[in-house]
Amino acid sequence: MFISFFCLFITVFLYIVFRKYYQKNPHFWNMPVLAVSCGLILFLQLTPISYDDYIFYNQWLIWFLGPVMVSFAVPLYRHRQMIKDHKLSLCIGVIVGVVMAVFSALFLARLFHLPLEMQKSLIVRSISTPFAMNVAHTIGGSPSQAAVFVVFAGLFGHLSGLIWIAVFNIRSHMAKGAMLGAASHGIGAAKAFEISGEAGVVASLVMMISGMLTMLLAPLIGLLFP
Amino acid sequence: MMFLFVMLLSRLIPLELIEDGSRFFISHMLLFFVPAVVKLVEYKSLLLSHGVGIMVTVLLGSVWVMFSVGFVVDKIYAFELRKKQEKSGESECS
Repeated sequence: MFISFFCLFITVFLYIVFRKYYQKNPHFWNMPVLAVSCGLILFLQLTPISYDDYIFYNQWLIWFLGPVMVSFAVPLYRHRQMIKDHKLSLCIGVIVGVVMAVFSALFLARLFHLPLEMQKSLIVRSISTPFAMNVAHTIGGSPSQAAVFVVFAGLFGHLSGLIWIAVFNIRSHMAKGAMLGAASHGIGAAKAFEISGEAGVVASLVMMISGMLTMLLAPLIGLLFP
Repeated sequence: MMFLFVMLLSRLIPLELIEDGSRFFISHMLLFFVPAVVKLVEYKSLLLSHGVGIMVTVLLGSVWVMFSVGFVVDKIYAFELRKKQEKSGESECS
């Protein structure tokens, strides 16, 4: 009991420390989700504390992902004018993004004969973590694997996004933002904000709407796995 | 979430009431992922044995998503602009 409580304490403590540190040194390798998780995994590996002890109180933190998802209604509401102005580009961008994300992962994961649970966790990799974990849970994947693939896809887009923009010769800021938001969610949106404010807003809108759409389509996506 | 969005649009819930709360949850959402990511300790061998497949799936999949979305939105955005210009052109003529 005491150990579980200590685990909750150390999780929150490490998070606060790394958040402060990251604000001063914003490099992707000391992003809180990466650094804190790695630290805690190491900690659990080096000490005899079991995962069950660890999660006993920490599951309450996971529970908060529900309110996080609901909270996305506020930024969506605040950008309603932008949505109205570019509804066609946004809608089609989101639909193309979600469909391509699901089928590309499905195709590649089957090509490599990955286990079924992993396939299900991989197809949600390009949407924001709270949505990805929710969908992974719904279709029978593993929310924690999904969370890792999401971070992985996000970092990849963040680091290489500008290269692909140049390779594919994408010109409008609208499209640059949309592709980063569709493939790499919040971490990609951070890159989009470096390109321009417009690209950043578009990226976060595409990310939020894609997450919602994937969540609504989750029962259909489940049907892809007989 | 959609429910809340509709409530905001219809002004049944004032934005000020939930603004601070939502900002708190979104800015600290990383904290809530951490315990879930830590669950990876239970999948260690599985992830290591499929490392290459996972890498290729995520990387190629992401590139493909970026290409298709970037390409399509670029075209549609150009179309949207053209339509807007045509509209403003018409109004100038009349």
